[in-house]
Amino acid sequence: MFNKIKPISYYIIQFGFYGFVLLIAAGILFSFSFIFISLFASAVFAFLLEPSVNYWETRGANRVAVILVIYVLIAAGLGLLGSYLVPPLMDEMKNFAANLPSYGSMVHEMATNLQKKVNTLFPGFAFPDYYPYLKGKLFVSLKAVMASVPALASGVASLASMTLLIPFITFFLLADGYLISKSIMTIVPNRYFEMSVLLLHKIVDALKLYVRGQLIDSCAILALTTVGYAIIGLPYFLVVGLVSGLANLIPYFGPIISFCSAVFVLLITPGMFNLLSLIAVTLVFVAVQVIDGTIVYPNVVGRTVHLHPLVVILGVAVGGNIGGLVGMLIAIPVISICKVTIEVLYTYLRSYSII
Amino acid sequence: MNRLQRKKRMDNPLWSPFRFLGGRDNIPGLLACIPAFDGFLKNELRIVEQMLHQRQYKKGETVFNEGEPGAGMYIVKSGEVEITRKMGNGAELALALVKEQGFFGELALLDEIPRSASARAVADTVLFAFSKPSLESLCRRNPRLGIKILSNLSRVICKRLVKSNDAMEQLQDRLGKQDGEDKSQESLTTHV
Repeated sequence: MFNKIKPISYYIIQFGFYGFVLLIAAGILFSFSFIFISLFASAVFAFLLEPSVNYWETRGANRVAVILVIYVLIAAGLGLLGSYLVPPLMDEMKNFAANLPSYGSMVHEMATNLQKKVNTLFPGFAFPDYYPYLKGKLFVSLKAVMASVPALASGVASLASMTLLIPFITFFLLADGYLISKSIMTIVPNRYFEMSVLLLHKIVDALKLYVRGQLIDSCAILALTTVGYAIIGLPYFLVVGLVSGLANLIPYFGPIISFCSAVFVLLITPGMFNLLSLIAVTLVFVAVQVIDGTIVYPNVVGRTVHLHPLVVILGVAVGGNIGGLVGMLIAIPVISICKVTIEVLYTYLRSYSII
Repeated sequence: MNRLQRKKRMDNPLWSPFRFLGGRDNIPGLLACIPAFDGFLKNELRIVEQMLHQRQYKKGETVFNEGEPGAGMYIVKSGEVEITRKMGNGAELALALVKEQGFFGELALLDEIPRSASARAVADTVLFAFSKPSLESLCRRNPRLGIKILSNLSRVICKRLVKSNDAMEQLQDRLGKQDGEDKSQESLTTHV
């Protein structure tokens, strides 16, 4: 007689055991959230570096040696980039910080002028004076920032440990990634082995394509925007480029944030806000979007994860509510990853008649 | 701890770098007998070995079912696997009995087409699974080995095609002869 029915106690013990293991794993991940973040970041880095490692391995090089050479090259590249890019970026930041009081008084002046204009047009209309209110708010925010300095220091410490941990995990993911998937398969029951092999492969492949595509696209936007704004002589072009590259992770809103940040820089720079500079900024913005839409995006993002605008708005709102600015930035990539995973799961579970 | 217990502990692939502690099976020797790995050197077989999933099946346990998407090929390390196919009337037709050093399910390495038959262990069996994702990964990382496997597989399929063509020809001949005999019998009856 084939396929003997197992007693219910067998399933209870199995369920209990795996549940216990999962509970411990979840507990560890929650108590050391930096481990989870490090694992996630390492997976992203491994996805990015894997094609280069495979390319050189195909040409007969040793995989571990290739990974080490790539690490050395990245370290050298970061060092060079740091020495060339960080000083001007710091200068821009310092400049911005030094000009901040004058920007404040400028905004106050603009508001006062606006108030005067409104009062001349509508004499009876009492325009509220927001300046003292905003100043008070700023003071409270600054106090809150000062109070969070100890927490910030511990954040820096965990960031330092993450910086050490991520290259190590990435190294092992690149060198022995197949061992991890083989290890996962050892706990899968025989009945679901074939399905799990295909599912894991499809999900990892889809995620690789998505992560690589999005990051390369964001880097392209960062480079194009920075070069474009540098050519037209926009101040703080490095910061605007960085903001545009990061905002590109959010569909629909990314380009709007990018354009708004450039216009904001025009507004706060004395003598820069005129029709000509506005046209120049718009032209650069349109050119970057056209190059991205016609050349970069179709070639780099293999599989488009289409999300409805409503999902994007809700995702950004929920992300912002949970994790602030970082939450807003990573909400859409996380939703897209979940969508890809669910799509693949649904297709395969259907073909195996499980759902 | 005896040798068997030690070996069981080493079954998890993450322990494979320390495999020397638990002894080593002659997996390359087994792989050398499989037509898909024909002409492979020992170090090339070691690369393939790293990609294999070892699976243990109890007597009567299903390896895969007809109609499900195929994930790869299986090599029998020990035990026996029966390949069956459901007929139109619901009865099961036994197509083959795959024994030690045999292999089955190799078509799934080429395409994710639904399995054309079911496979079931008829004794306690140990199988090595070589999955399609593993072959794809091998093709990316070591295209020379990937091409070797693919050309070996196409050779296996070509041989089978020639064999099935011959069988079909023989069947047609037999049917033609039977048809001729029936006609002559028919004409004889009408003459009479």
